[in-house]
Formats: sequence, C-alpha cells, structure tokens
Amino acid sequence: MGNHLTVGMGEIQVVRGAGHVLTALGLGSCIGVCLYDPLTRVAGMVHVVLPKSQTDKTGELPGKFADTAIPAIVQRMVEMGASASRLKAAISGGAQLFQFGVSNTLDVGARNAEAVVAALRAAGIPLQAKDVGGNAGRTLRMVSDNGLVAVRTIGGAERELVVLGNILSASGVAA
Amino acid sequence: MNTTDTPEKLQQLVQTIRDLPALPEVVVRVMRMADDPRSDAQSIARVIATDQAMTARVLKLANSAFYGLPRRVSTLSEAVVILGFRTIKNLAIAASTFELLNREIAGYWLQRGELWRHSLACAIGAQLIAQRVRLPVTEEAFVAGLLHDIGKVAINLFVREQYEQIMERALQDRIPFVEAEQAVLGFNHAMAGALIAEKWNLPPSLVAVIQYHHQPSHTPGAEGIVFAVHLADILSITLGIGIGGDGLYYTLEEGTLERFGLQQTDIDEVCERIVDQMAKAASLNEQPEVVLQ
Repeated sequence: MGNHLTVGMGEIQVVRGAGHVLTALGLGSCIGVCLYDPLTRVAGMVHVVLPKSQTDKTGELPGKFADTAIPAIVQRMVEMGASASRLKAAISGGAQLFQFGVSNTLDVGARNAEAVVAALRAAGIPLQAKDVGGNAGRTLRMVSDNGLVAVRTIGGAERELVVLGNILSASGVAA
Repeated sequence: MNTTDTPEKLQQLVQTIRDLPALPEVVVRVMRMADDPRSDAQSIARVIATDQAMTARVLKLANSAFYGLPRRVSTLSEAVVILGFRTIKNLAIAASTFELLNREIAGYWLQRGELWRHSLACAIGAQLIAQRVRLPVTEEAFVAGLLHDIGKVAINLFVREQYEQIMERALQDRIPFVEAEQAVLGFNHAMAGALIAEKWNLPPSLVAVIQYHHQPSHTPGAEGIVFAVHLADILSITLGIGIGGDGLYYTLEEGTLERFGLQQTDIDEVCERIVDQMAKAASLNEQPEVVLQ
C-alpha cells in the first residue's frame, strides 16, 4: 500500500485518491472521526481529544476539540476537492474508565462522543457507523480507495466497521 | 486462583528483577546531590561528566524542544545553571531509564516506545497537577510519574502467558486490571515496580509512589504526590497515551479529585496541557542512542 499516515492527538490528515491509509493509534477517550467523499476519493481523519477548549487557544490545533475539529477538517477536504454535501462519516473511540459510576467528572469519552455527533449533525454530515464506548483502547484505520473503516481493539482482532464509499444514500445511523 | 504455583512465580519474578540492569552509579549520586543543599552546579556537573554517554544524553535532552531554551547549551555546568539541579536530576533519570521503558512490552500489547510515551505523559501530568495544587514536590512528581509503571517491564512475560485469564478475571469480577493481575499471578505491576525501585536504591518516598499508584489512599502517610501520580496516570490512560491491552480497565480512586478540589474543567485543562506538552516532547521520544548501562 502506498502512503501510510498516522493521525496523532489533535491532528487532521486529509488525502486524495487511492493508495492511502490513515491510522489513529491508541484511541482511549479520544474519538477518531473518518470523513469520506466517494466521488473524489478525498478521505480525512481527525483525532479529537476533548469536547471543547478550556484555555481558548484558538487556531493552534483545531483538531483537538470536537467543536472546532469538524469545521476545520471539512474545510481542508473541500480545499482538496471534496464536496461537503457528499461527505459521510464514521467514528470510533470514546472509551471510559472501568467501573466508574460515582461521578462523571472523568467521563471524557462519553462527552467527546456526544460533542462529535453534535458537530457532525451541525455540519449536516450523515454518520454511517460508530463504534464508541467500552473500556478498551482502539486503533482506527481508513483506506482512501473506498473509504473502508476498520477498528482494532488493542489486544483483539481488527474488524470492519463500514465501507463509506459503498454507501449511496444520505441517511445516517441513529446518533 | 493459582495459589499453588504462586510462590514459584514470585521466585521467578524476583530473579527477573535481579537480572534487570542497575541504575547507573552516576544517577544515584546525582539524585543524592540534587537533594543536598550544600551541592552546587559545578560539583553536579563534575559528577555527570565522569560518565561520557550520560553527559551526551543530558545535553541532548537539555537542548530538545521540550525545554525550549533560547540558545544551544554546550556544557554541563551551563545546563545545570540554566535548568537547575532538579531538572538535571530528572534528565539523568530519564536518560538512564529510556532504554528500559522504551522496550516492546508484549504482555500488555504495547509496541516499542508506547510505555515510554505513557510514562512521559504521566510524568508531565503529575508535575502539572503538583504545580496546580501547590504540592512542594513538583520535580519529584515528574520522576515518580516517569517510573510509576516500571514494574510492567518485569512482569511482562508473566502477563503475556496469562493475559487471557487476567482479562477474563477483570471482566468477570468487575475489578481493575491491576487487581486481576494480583488475583491471577499473585503479584501486580505496582508491587513489582516497587521491588525494582528498591533494587535501584531509590528514596523510600519514590518506592511508595510506585507501589501505591493505583490505590493512593493505602500509602502510609497518604502523601499528596501519590494522588498526583495516580491522577496523572488515570488521565494519561484515559487520553489513550501509550495504552495497551489493559486499556481503560482501571479506576480513579474515590476522593482523589475532592482531595485536590479539582472540577471537570480543571481536569479537561490538565488533559489539554498534557497533550500540548507531549507534542513538544516528541523530540524526546527519538533517541535510539540513549542506552542503559
């Protein structure tokens, strides 16, 4: 396979055409968001860390926060030739600590998932598949040829989540 | 419970720890000197200079983007003056444990470099928390954070052999992974880490942080630093920095946030800063020539 790109915490990677693989390693409470335009084969991935900024350092790494990440990645993909109206999304991550029921202070995973889903909805991008929650770390992979999205649980096997390029309708999963 | 073969395993663990490399003598001396008010920059520089490899590593770390010095530091005494004794001590410990922490830890499904990243994130987080809640031990918090999981290196092979049983036990009994290690193996990575720290003659306070980093309230004296490292560890795990098969199968001990009076926004901000500093520290992760003696 041609070009392998790792998407680190808060990073956005966008590629165009066949032959690229985007990977986010070690997703805990973070969310890996995959966006794909089947027509132009523009594929993007962002590794969202938190729902929103507490220190308000705007612009530094917009991919770090759900509220700034989605508009930023969509803009990058449109600049690469994608059409915002054709984009389809899949998300993974948002794990939580084990046995954590008392307080939700550390419930970053669930808050992240909620914020990402809301940001996608605000951008009008249908969410086609999601694999969020649980207690395991994950590695997320997307192939630019067809928008195949696969998730591997650390210590487990990889499984296919969705092929975003195969989805023709604009309907999303219930978020 | 595998109680019948536990003593034998424990013997094997003790042997494994005995076979681990010693902490270089220079580091032990520097640690002692950094805590001695009579030491000065020149004498510490002289001790480090007796070890050429260590000198090179410390200078390289001092000049990395992480410390953001405005100009290149080319001598040890300059580095000690600009960064301070305590930071130099941290650099010496980081340099000497890098090779060990940078190993692949297959038992935990950690690729090469992942445990180092996790350790560094915990070190950075522990220091940030210590500063924020005004603990008088911010530099010690960094070192303790860096070494908290050193026991994983020693119990790696035992965990690899019985990973499935440990995970099954954690899920079945709804207990954190570290407790499942204890139930299946008869020991856990925190306890093994404390044995390593003792072998290295590290100060008792550091041994205690390593031993109790998953249950800080059990620490004799319940020192704040143990809670800071515990919280930093849990935040680094939550952020997914260097997590393995044990994933997020851990808990934050009740009362930790209350002890420090931290709210959700404080926690988010600490997380944000850990991520920022880890990006800056990326240069610290690539030092193939840093080796343990």
